[in-house]
Amino acid sequence: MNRTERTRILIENGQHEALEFASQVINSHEVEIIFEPKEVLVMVKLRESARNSLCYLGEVLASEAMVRVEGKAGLGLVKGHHFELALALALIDGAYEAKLALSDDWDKVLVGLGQQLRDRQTLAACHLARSAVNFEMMVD
Amino acid sequence: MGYVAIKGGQAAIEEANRLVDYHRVKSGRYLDVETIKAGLKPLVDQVMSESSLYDEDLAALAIKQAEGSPEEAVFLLRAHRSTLPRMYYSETVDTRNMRVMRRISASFKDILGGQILGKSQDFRHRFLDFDLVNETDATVAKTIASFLDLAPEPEPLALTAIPKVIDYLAQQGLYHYPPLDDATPDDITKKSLSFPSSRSQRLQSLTRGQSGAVISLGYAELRGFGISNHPNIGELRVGMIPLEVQGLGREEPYYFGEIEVTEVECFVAKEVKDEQQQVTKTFDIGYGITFGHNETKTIAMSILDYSLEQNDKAHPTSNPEFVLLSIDSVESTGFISHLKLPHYVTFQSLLDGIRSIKEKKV
Repeated sequence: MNRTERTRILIENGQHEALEFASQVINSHEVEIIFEPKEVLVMVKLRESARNSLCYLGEVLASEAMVRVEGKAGLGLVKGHHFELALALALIDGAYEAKLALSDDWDKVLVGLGQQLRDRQTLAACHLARSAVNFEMMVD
Repeated sequence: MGYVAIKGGQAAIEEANRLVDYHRVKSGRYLDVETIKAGLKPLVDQVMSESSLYDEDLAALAIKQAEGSPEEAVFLLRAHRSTLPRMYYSETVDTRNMRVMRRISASFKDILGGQILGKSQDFRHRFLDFDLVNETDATVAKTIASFLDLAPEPEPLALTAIPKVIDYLAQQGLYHYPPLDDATPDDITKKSLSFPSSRSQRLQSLTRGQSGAVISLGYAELRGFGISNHPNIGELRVGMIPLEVQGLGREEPYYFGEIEVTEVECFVAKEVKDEQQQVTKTFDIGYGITFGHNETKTIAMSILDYSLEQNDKAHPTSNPEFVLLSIDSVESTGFISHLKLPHYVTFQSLLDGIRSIKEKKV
């Protein structure tokens, strides 16, 4: 599982698990906090479709933390004000970068959480499907 | 007449502020932030869009503090935003990756991926619902249950990677994709808007423009004060777009959340000359995108985008200086509000001038 998919699953459907994973890292490995969680802005860069040019849409508030796990830097970044989660994500990112054995067990959990997320989105898509337009041609 | 420094009014100002605090809660009732987020989503979206800062919690807090005034809430959020460091730029967002929650076209009936009405007030009768006066936890629970109890369609809709309507237009040879333009965009929050403006400056100004102003100028365009009298909505989408950054310079991007946006591509027919210099017709695209679910503003943005691209100063809505310098919420409300500030010296000077003219006439 790559970093993009991992962070997506943890943020969208694994916040409780992220805190649990982080506590495992803290309890068993050397951890250094590079900086504590803080609020930052992320400017959204967009490719618009009329001229295919780039523009800025606006800024998103996010929480950011950075740590070092066994000498490897880890980033925690999550939209909104979620300091505890940002720190947990940083520890997990660092743990993966340090290739800790712990992370092998996490992958199985993440696969399950990813499936749950897909199931939830599928159900939402089924509900939304009720509002899909079914045009009927009127024929003489 | 010389200038005279004066001071005073400090105690009165403190009391005026105290009155604001008192009147916000004088009924003994108050709104909490979660209630504002849950029940006033269009207002939260409007404030996020106009303040150019996406955060539902902060927008709801600003609305609470501003007692529901969008202009004041936007002012608060813009001020707060200026205290925060910008640490990242996102990876370039491609709205083709949107997880769509609503999608319609007014140009084609049958579009690949289908028309999905989603959540929309468009089809509601505009009658006041007096049942809402006596809404209770029980009636709310009943409304939720009645929706969830309905059997969902057995097959989910494909909501991601849906082809765009412009793809269909291109297949028909009626639209040609412009080449990718990777020029670094200008950022009006770092360097003030200047003229002639760049496309990125115009789009950034329009997307954070005051909703009423953008809509009114878009309407003026349609009423004959602009060059496109009736564009067609090629596609209107509302949905979630994933956001990623290149965290710590690593190859794999870092996902940090998703945001809701509204996107509109409007089609405008225009005359062009072909290779034989014969006049023919093709389509041009006006583009609109905003934070949150803001359909009317986004449609108006797409109209104004097209209009401003023509840079035809004979029409007010094609004049970037007129449009872009008029639509910003903080700038326009701030300048209008400054008229309330003491202008004693300038007004006395004006009076002196008028008196002097009158005396000379006598």
